[in-house]
Amino acid sequence: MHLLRQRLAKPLSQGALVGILCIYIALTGMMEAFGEREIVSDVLDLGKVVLLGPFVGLGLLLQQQAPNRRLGWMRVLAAGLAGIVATGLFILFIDAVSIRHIFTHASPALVAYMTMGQDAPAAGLGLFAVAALAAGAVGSGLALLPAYWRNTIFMAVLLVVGMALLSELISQVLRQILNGRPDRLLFSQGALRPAVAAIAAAAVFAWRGLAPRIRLRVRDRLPPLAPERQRQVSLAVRGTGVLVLLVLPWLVGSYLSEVLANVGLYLLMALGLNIAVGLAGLFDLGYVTNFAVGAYLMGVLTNSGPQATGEFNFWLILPVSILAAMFTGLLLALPVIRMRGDYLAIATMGFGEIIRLLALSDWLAPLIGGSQGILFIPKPNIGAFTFQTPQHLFYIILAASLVMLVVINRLDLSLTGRRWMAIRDDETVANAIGIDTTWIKTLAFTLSAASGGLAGAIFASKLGTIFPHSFSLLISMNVLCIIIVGGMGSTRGMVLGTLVLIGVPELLREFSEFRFLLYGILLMAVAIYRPGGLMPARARHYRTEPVPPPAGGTPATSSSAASS
Amino acid sequence: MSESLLSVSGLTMQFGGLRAVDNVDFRQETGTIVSIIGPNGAGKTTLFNCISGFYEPTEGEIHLGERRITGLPPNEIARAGIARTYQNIRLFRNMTVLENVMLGQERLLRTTWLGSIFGTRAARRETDEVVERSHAILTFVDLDASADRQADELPYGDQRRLEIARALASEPRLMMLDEPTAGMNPSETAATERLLQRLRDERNVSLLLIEHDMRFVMGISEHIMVLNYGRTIASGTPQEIRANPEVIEAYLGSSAQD
Repeated sequence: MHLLRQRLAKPLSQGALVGILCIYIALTGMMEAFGEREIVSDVLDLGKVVLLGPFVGLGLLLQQQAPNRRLGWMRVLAAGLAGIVATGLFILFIDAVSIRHIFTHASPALVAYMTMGQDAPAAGLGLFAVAALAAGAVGSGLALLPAYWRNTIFMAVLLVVGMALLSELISQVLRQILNGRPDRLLFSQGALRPAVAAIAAAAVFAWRGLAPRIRLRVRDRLPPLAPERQRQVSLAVRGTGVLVLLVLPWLVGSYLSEVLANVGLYLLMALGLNIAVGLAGLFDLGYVTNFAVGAYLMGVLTNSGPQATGEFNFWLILPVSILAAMFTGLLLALPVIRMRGDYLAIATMGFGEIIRLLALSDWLAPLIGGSQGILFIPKPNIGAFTFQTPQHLFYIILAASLVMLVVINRLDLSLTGRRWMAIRDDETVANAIGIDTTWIKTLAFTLSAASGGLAGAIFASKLGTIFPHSFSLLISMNVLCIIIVGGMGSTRGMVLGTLVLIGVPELLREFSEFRFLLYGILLMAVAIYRPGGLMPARARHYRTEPVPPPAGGTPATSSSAASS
Repeated sequence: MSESLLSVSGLTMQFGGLRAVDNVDFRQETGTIVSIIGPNGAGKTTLFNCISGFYEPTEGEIHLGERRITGLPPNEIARAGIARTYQNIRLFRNMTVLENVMLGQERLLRTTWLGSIFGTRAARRETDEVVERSHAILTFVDLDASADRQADELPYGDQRRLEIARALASEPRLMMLDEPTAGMNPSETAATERLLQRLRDERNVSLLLIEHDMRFVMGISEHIMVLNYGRTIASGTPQEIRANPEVIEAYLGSSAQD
């Protein structure tokens, strides 16, 4: 008996923890909000996924860690019961006692949802218990499957859920390509039709079965590509990528173009801040400063409203905004450049607040509008053509992002990039091998500011109005989250991080209310499971080809640094 | 007065009430190997830190050749031609072996940030040159096979050699090594001894060592200086040091008299 207690104590507490997680998800309102989003029509909705998902995970984990199958099932059963008791008590409690003045989401509707819509609480609770136990059993069953099949099932589930969550995007693209309403074949009211879900899952199984064979055949038949050909292929791939980006706004429509434009603006900021944080290791929590300087400069100098000052052209002010942001970056770097780590973070955070308060102040109001903001900022134009719609503006942001990507890639592989990384790894030693650390750090701040200023300038012109509250600490935090989740110092990581943290929440409107909760979960998960980020920075490899002797007129084409 | 490579005179480093280095004088000639020995806390590393610019000495002067380097920041001193290693290995741990050696060449580089952004031909050519020189240096210390590995993945002995390679990359006039054989077994120590002799003979680098391994010190040094409580208590050839009663008393202990 004692032995049994010892063996079951841990599963019981883990089960109770899962119960508490369910209660937490319920009280934040996530469960109900997600309950309205169906994944597969009439079969599964997102709320059930977050209600029962933890039980599946628990079953999987406990069964995997168990020394033998019998003990595994016992532990899963114990943990499942503990979770059910915790959640059940909670349901009974909020059914009997109203705590809605504290937790507004603890409503009868929540009780109804968690008891699977049954009228009698007892029957509902029983149904919930059966569902939770079944979920735990499914998890345990998955743990007992060979890894190949487990992964295949995961992929199928991921595909189905992903397709359902991105239904709006998929429908939009389909409607642009095909006539009529082809999306109705796949979705009904945003949820996958059951048959489609089954086909998608079957497709994953088929692909997993066939792909290795196809790959083997093709690889055997094809001769290895010559380096010259490889370069051509990679160029072709890149060209196709750019082409896809060029037609993208017309495929996805106006709303999603707006989302893409926001993703682009955040990408610009992430690429910039990544110089300071990712490469040089300087924790800058006041990045919004540069964004604000770029935006206000663009606003003040181009607007035709009450603050009109010159009403210059967008293209003239764009470089001015970048230079102004760089100058601000330089100015702010000077007093804090000798600080390290946490102190630097706090000091730069202060700058972010200062700039917001300056923007709000009555003192500067005659110039920059104070809390009234700046109105009537014109959209960019070339001659008679104005970049009016989100689709048009997307191209400006795309161009800016591509330019920044090229610049950042060069810096990343350059000797200057090496100096930044040396400072990140060990500032004292970097100094002792001859690097002027003060100057190189100042340079990181200054160049990092440029991209923020660029993003701010485009932001102002895109929106047409700017207000001080657009430049809160939250922007700095969002950008920092992108860098940590994407992978510090990794340019590809910045792209992925921006898509995940900025793009996805905009696509899934159910999520947007809980965006910061998700950020928190993602940050913790990344810190525990992938400390380097989703796409960690890869080691830089340098290859040199022998430099050909400078013959008449032909440029020496020694390929320099190339990351593999 | 003949031209010395390094001359230290009246050097004192005071931390509050503690005189970690107390009125130390010494000279090192070009092409020599000089060792500093002494018990723990004798001020050896503090002396290194003064020379490489981490500390600004309370009193005294340091000259490299003709040039006064007292109180200069570490990067200026590195540029003047002094490279060093550390008692507890300090590599750029998240970078590759090759990158560490590339960074060692900082004092020879001309590429500026503008060159880096615009990818100018001069910048690209310099990167190629730096990479080639780095491979040559890694070959010299027999680490080229590990060039693309991350520095902190290397075994301990290789990390020590990489630190020496990084210091060598700057083509220094003087290399200061803080306990290069710490934590090594006898065969690794012997290999280090051969490496240091090759540094001097093939690369014309003068070496200033801090070392605890007596056999190693006696075998490799032309000149030895003994510190105790921050003061120089003896200075001379290995034979002279071995015979000095004060040294035996303070440092080697009575068993060395046998």
